[in-house]
Amino acid sequence: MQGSNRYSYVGNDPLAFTDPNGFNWFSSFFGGIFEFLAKPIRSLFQQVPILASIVQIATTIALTPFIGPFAAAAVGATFVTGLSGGSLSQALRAGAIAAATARRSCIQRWRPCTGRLRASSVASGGTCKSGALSAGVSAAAAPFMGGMNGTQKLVASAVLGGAASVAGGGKFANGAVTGAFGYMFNAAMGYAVGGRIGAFAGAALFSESGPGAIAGAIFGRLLFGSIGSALEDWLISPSASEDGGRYSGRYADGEKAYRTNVPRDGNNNPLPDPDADGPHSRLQMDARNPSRIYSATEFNQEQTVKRIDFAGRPGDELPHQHMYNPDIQSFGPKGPLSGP
Amino acid sequence: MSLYCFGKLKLNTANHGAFAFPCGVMVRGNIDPSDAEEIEKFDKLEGDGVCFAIVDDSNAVDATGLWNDMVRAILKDPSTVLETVLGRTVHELLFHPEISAGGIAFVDGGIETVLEGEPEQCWNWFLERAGKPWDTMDNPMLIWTAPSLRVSPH
Repeated sequence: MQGSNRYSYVGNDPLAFTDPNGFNWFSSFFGGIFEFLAKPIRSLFQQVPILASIVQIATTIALTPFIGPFAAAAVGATFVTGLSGGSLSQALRAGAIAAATARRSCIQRWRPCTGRLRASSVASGGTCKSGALSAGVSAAAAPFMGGMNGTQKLVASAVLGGAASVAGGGKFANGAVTGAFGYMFNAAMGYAVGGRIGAFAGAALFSESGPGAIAGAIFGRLLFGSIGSALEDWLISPSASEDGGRYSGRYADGEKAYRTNVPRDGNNNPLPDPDADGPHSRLQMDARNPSRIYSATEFNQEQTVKRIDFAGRPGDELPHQHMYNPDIQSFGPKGPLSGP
Repeated sequence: MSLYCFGKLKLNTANHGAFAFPCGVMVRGNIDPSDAEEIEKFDKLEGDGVCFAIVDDSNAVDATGLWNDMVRAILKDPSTVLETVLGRTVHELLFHPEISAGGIAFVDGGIETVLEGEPEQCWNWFLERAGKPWDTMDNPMLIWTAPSLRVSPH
């Protein structure tokens, strides 16, 4: 029995979660304890179903600054699913799925077994379970791909997705397609934290809307995801990037700088612009503020000439330049700017 | 940017003022507060300790010249790394008996790679990078713990 709320077994979100077997030995133990502690709250949730969504959203929003959206979504979903009368396994699974999907933008628009994941899995002939595993594993692994380029991330996502699919009883090829598709979708549609929270809020609100639940959820994720992302852009940083790196000094006006890497060859040397002819510069923009020039490397055709830095540590003269020294294949000490 | 070398040392004694850096190297005690904040994020380095920056000279805030000197020496003879100011200083800090734990960063910008291990491991990681141009490095932060602090099975 799941109480009077027919969707409590999936944490009040039938779009997101499934309960294929309906029982678990641990859930009985969990249920006994939770029945006593959560009965009044669960009763309230059943009378006013939207409260559960609001609590879940509030929990996620409140925890995000401290533990990040990834873990916050997990804790929020686990907490509310448990309070709503779900078993421990359901609560943990809800948390795990929320965490995996929150990691990238899939939580903004779709959830496993409904939108993107089902579409990608079923389209490639797989099952929902193996498809969800593929997408979840590849999404959860995204934070560990920081040092990879786009192609490497795509391949890694495909391999991880394939392996997870096999673990879930599916085919490697299907999971690989799901993982790769998920990566490309996330890369193309990725929002920042505000977008995730906004999408999560929209989806949670709309998923209780009865017959139009599926359309409502999709609409909610699209609408609120966009609003949340726009709000974050406006409130926090016009170009905040998750992968913006660590503090890398300051510009002359005191603003913090975040380094990005210039294109380099196999020996890690700066690459000139292949389309440029003669003397030219390649600009290295700030990782978090693309409108700021972090440094500029000057070339004369394919020969590196010097590097001009616009950021440094307190006490540095800014901007300054480093002339290229072929003897050590590196840049020399800093000095004042000079002519070409 | 330039090559910046900064870090923090956790000492066996509370008398931080008595700690002496290796001879022949210019060290600044006042590092960039934002770098100090970054350092505090590492569990082994948070709390009391001695923050430092190794610099080319008394007017500099970077160690680009020291790094390039080391590169030149290694290009001629790799075994001479301990004869360079930077190589010798790093080695002495890693194996200093008064240091219980420490961290030292070599960055052209911000920390990108964090390597934690014993002093021997950190020394090897340093050697792997010591002959390379400073602008091509992975901007490592080496964090070590003195062997005496390691948990003994007995």
